[in-house]
Amino acid sequence: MIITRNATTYRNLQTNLSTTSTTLNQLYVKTSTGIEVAKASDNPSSVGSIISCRSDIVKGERYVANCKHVQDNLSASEIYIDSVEKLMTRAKEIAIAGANDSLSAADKATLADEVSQMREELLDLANTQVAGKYLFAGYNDQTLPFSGSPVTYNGTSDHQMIEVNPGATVAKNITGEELFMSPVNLFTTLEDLQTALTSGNSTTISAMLTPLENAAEQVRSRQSSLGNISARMDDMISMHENALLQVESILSRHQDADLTEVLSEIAKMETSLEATMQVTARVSSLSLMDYL
Amino acid sequence: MAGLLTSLYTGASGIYTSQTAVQVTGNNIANAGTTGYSRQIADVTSTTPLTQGGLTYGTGSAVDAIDRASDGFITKQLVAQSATYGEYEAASTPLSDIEQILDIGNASISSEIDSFFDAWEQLSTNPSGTAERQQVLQEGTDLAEHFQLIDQQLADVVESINSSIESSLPDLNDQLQQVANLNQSIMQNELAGGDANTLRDERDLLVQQVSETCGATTYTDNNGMVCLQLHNGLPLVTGNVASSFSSTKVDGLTQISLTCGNTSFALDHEDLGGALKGQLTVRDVTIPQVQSDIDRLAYTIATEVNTLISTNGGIDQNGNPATDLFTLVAPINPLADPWDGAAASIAMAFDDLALIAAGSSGATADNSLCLDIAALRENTSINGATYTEEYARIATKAGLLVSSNDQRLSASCDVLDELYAKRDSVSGVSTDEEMVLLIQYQAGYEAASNYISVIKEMLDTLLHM
Repeated sequence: MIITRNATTYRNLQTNLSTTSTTLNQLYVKTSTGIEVAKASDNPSSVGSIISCRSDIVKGERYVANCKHVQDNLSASEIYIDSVEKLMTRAKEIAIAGANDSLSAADKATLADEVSQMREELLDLANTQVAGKYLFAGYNDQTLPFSGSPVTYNGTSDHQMIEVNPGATVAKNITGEELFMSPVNLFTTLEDLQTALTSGNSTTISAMLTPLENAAEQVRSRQSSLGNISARMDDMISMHENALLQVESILSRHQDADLTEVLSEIAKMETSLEATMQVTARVSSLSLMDYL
Repeated sequence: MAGLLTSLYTGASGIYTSQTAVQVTGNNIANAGTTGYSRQIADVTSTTPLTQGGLTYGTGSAVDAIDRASDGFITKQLVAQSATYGEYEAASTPLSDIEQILDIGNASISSEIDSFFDAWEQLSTNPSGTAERQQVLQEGTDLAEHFQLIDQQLADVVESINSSIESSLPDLNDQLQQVANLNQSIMQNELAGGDANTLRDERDLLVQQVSETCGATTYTDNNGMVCLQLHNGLPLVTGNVASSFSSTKVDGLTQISLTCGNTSFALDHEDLGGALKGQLTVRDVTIPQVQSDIDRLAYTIATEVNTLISTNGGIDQNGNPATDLFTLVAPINPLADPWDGAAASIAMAFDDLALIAAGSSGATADNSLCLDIAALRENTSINGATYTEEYARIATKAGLLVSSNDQRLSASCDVLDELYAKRDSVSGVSTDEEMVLLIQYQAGYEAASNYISVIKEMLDTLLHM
């Protein structure tokens, strides 16, 4: 086969020069962006993983935010529920004190007054607002939930569910219904105690101890469920954060360039480009005409 | 016995021959870099011998013809391979445009889909919050606009293919006409006994260019004229008559037709080869497929969100049953897929925050609908895939098209290079080889000159006797 310098040799050199510099340019871009798969054709089999990793990251970050949001809400509620619990404990102490036969009618009347104050306080607690929203109102968080005499509940028994894991939701609120009204009505219980203190004898006052204890128990059971949910949220948050790290490393494996590999590839291609250039220069210097 | 004067003429023929051969070599050297040039060879023959006195002796040499080094088989292969190369080369630009449109980066539509559903998830934590509602509205608008943008960008690719086709036709027609004219000139030249080497080179190159643009098969007719046909047998050039391409716009797409004599034939991507085939295939096969996939994605998201809002009985902040979140324009053609044109027409139905339904009771803290809408992103309603998985499938498909086209392009490029090398080894000019020939002919010239001076001396000797 005749090798013609002008045509064959130069064409080959030209093709190789352009192939090598194109590859080199791609490698430079990879190094500067740090991304291996910038477009689908770079590695079509990675596209599915890259896109699903990105979705998982968005979801994971949202779940962490949601868990924290639930915790924030519950701890806001917790402060007020603690006050309710203290109030009910105090009511029980008053009942025990009031059941003492040696107490004068005036002393009992003082205690009854205190209970009346406590009813007002309980109503205020039940109508607590945080950031302009009633805490214990179910879905109707912009309507006064407790009012009237006897006190009625105007909220709903709905829990605002927040997604904290795919398909798994937790309630971010305690409804006024479950805390104050059902099965034990805290307002009625205090009212009964007040009536007993005002007009009853030690037997009727003592009889209030059990309902008061039930009421306090109802509040405590809410408290403990809050604690449980909050602990569960802590677990969820660390689970999601671990999962996020995992997903981010998968995304990086599929999408990001391995700099060590790319840089050594660059060194290789640069050597090859240099060699091609040297050969190109040398070819033109070799000619029969030099020897004529 | 021949006379000394005859011998002088014999010497002169040697000089002429060497001179002509040097001229041919010089021409070869001058054209060493000319595209499509075929090396020429001085065909030296011995002249007619004289018979005198019972002896037959030669009378020198002459250049009988100037031949052209070419291999018809390689030329044919080049024509065929150019068509393949042209097809992949022309498809590569619009295909990578499509790939860019179906981005997989952080700003891709799959991220918009994620953000849209994330906004609903966020709204679920504060159903009456204006900031959260604004977020839902904004992400919904961004999503709809991204669909419109993709649709628009695909239309732009179609438009650029159209104009590229339109601009290539005049050149192509010109080339066909030149081939026909060259057929005529070559025949006339050669009938007159001349060589038409340069014209033949020119014709080979033109045929190859035509094939790269529209794909052609060639045959040589009885008059030595090269005839070109499309793969489906329609004539491009028959003898000295060329057909011509023309284009018309039908529904925004440039349609190509070929006029042979008085008849016109409409051509599609299957009739043509070369660059036109590559471009038409992307325009008429690939893009409609991508468009339909994207339309379907837009349609499914829009209708599933809308349907969920109405079946769950969503109530907006004003206490009214919620309206659709997205609007779509149904296709005019009743036979078309219901999602036809959805990406172009998808839009947010309103920009009033109060019209977003977060729940189905109308209560201020009801977030039940938000959760259900956010859960739609896990729905596997398109080919068993979620929305983002479906988008990943569409983008992967585009990526595969690009990478397989790139591979075929580089393979056909290699084959073409190989063929050029083969052609060069037959037809190419090696300057070193020409230098050797030059030395050879120079020596021949010197020898013939010396011979003449010897004859002259002999004549002198004779005259001085």
